[in-house]
Amino acid sequence: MPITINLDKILEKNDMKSTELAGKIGITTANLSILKTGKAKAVRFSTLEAICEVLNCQPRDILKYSRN
Amino acid sequence: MKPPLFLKRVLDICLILILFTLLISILVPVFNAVSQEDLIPLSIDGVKIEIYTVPVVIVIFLSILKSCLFIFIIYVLRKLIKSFFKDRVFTPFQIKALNLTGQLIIIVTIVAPILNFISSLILKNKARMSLDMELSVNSFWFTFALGLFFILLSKVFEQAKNIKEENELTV
Repeated sequence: MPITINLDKILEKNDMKSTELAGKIGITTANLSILKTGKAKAVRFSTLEAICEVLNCQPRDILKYSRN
Repeated sequence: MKPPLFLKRVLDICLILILFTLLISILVPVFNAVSQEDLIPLSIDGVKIEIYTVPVVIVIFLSILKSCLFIFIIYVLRKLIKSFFKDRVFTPFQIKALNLTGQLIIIVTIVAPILNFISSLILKNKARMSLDMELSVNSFWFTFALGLFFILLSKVFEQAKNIKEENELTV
């Protein structure tokens, strides 16, 4: 998929673990894993908003578009 | 979702009754042929069978084949209903089973009049073709439509499966 998720880097930058983030934004670790591995077909605005709020970043920091 | 227990029971009864009838329709000709006497009278489409000639045996065989096809439809439907007990819907198995059921119903609907025509030709020595108007659920067009409906249902299930997958992969 041309959209890639950079969640790993931002998590590392914020010194946070996936389980911690999942708990803070209120989604399961399984769903967060789907997002991290790029298997997700859609991201809710509410989820994106929560991630940005917790990790103190912008949506552009998480999502990246690259032409194939 | 509540498991469709009543539907399964109805199909169970249907399967048991058909299997019982099929067993009798196999055993009676064999019994009569072995005993050389017509102890249990057998009739197909209202024609009493007295002599078991090769064409008559073919007719009996074709009738049994038609019943076997019908039993297979009920068996597939039963398996489909049982799959709903696991509280999982829109699975690839359910899509395939619905499609297969529809195809089999269409096959049986088309094959049955052909078999009736052949058996009428052999047993009554006359060919009859007519355009009947039936006002019951046994109508050719109704069962044909039922088969097509099952195929349509499988397509709907396939779409639902895709939507369900998308929903599950939405974070």
